[in-house]
Amino acid sequence: MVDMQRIESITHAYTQAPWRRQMQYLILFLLILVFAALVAGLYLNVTAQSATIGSEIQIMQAEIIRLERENAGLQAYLGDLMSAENMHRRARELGFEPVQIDQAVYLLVPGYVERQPIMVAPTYQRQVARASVRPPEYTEPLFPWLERRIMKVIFPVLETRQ
Amino acid sequence: MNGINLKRYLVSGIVVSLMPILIVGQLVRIQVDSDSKEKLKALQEIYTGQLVTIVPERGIIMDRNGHMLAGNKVVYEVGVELAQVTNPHTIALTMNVVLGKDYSKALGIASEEASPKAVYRPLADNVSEEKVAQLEVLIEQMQATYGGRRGKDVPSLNGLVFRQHLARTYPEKSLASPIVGFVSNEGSGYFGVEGYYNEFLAGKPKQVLVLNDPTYAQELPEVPDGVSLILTIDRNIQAAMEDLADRSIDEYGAESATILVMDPKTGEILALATTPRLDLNEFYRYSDVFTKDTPFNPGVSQAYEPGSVFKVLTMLAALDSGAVTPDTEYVDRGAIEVGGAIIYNWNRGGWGPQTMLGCMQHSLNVCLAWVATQVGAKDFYSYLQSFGIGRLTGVEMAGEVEGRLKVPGDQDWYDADLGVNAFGQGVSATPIQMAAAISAVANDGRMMQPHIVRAMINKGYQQNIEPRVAGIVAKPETAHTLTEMLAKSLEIESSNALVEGYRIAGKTGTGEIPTPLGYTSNETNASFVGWGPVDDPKFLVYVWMEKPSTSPWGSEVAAPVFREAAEQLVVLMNIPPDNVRHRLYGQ
Repeated sequence: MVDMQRIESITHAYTQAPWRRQMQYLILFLLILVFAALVAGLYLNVTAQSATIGSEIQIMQAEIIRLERENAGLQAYLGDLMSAENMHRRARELGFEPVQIDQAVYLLVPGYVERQPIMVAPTYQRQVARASVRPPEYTEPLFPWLERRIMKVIFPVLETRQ
Repeated sequence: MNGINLKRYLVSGIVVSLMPILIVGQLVRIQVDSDSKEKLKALQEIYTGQLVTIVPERGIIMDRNGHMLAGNKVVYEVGVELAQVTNPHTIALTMNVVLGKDYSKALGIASEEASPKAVYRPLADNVSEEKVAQLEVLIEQMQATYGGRRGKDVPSLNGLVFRQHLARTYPEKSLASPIVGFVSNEGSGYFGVEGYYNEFLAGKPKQVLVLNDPTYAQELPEVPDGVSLILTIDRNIQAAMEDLADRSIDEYGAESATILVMDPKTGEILALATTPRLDLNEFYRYSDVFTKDTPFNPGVSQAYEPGSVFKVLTMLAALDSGAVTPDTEYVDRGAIEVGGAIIYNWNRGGWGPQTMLGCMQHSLNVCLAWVATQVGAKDFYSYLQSFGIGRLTGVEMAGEVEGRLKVPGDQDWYDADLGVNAFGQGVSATPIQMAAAISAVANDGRMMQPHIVRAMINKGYQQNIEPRVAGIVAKPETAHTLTEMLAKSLEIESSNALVEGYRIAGKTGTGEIPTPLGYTSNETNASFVGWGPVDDPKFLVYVWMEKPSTSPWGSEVAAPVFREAAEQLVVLMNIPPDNVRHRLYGQ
């Protein structure tokens, strides 16, 4: 009987009050809720940023396409302004007239280079693989580098002799 | 638990249990029923994103100095977002007044009921920026005036939208049009380099699924523009030759004129002027300009019997094979029988003893027919084939034809053909074939591949196209000898083709036009081929006047045109007179 009482008193001592247990569950629930809210908030933030950037990319791409088209249109407009018909008309308006065969005077001008074929883009050349220009500090493993540095400090003469 | 609660729990349990069963059932149905699968797929596509075709910018075309011949301009497609349309009548009326579209047709389109399949409908395409600006002003005005009101009868341009895209434009209009060709509204190239290089110029469109999910930061793929082309033609030379061709038609009453200018050392075509020409911006007028069988570019697409200019090739074959020398004498009695056919001279007269120079100078059919017999059919046709007669030159313009060269062994070849082919009858060739073949005489016996494209620009790099030898068709000495003979023959007869200060070699040609009954027509093809300066040829000009009415003779029609062309060329190409050149360069 005494033993039974002792057991009960120990159990009672270690058993938490019901309100305390409920409080613990509540806190746990709230913690989960806060964590979930944090995750949801973070997710919302990231997705909102992503959506904004996606939208900005789309706007920029649309702008690039618009500018490319505008550029093509302006090139064509320039071509129109400088067409043979327009240039001849403008030349005539400025008082120029076509040179006749008996009007041309030919001179040898030292250093004069005649009109060269037009190049509107670089010519295609095979890319030659170039040797790495990065210093060894960026390429060699840590321990050989460390060893080299230590050796340099300890035996500077030896290092230079090598 | 009382009875009512038990019943409630039971009903709730059944409902909750039924839901997953229904879901599984629906899944099975979708898997089994193909219609449902398709519908779901369509829905998925709608909600996932939309397939967008990225059309690359069509490559531009330039002349050898970078002047634009074909480019791209911004145009608009005007259409309606059907769900947004509130008054189709206003839209149709606006289309009719501003863009000249059919009212009832536009009304029909704008009145269509919006549905998932009918979201947008185009009303007009290739609308200029100015017209779109006009429409935008109208939309603003209408919004300002009637914006506050509601109702179906309230005038409104709601739903009218504009989609920007690029369309082909040709700043030089009809200049070099036979060379350039054109692009249809559907984006396909026709004729010229537009047709020949259509796929390269157009580039490869790419389809991309653009997701509706805004959180998916998607970058559109880089679609390379179409290949741009730099042609060999010089815009100024082309303009001068076209002007000359137009004037020559009026002056000599010809049906058409073709003037081809070529660099005999490289095979580059510097100009190819033909008539008639089309303003490429109005390509839809094609059938108005090219009536009947008129080809778009006779320079490559129309084979004809060239007549005596062909004698250059006959003599080249004869000299190169050793059948004759310039001093070989032939007694011309005014007629010769070859393969049963009697051949006469152009004046039906005999010219007595003649050297080969005399034969070329007087353009004697009888003599050249005899020369061909001296070469022999086998060698003669072998030479003609090596000159490229009867086969495509491969020049980069769509619509090239190969002409016709009958050779021994063909069912329709007869022995008589050897005699008539010698002076350019019974054989048909295009101006480009003739120019390419004869350019071998001006280029030490080396025939260059005629070409019109000088360089290609692809993905930001320029690839120059180097001149290519199409064949070594004669010995250099033979080419020099023949050039000298042709230069002398022009000088002796004081030809209309001579250019003061420049030594020119050349040959006239007058070809009768065959009819179904034979050579019964009085109409002719007048031609001239010439090159210069003789000691350092910079240009070769081939002139063809079709059916001239003032005179049938090449010497009176085509030779003066050549002279005028050469006089302009030496100025445009900065070629000094021979004596000045020799003095300046010590040549």
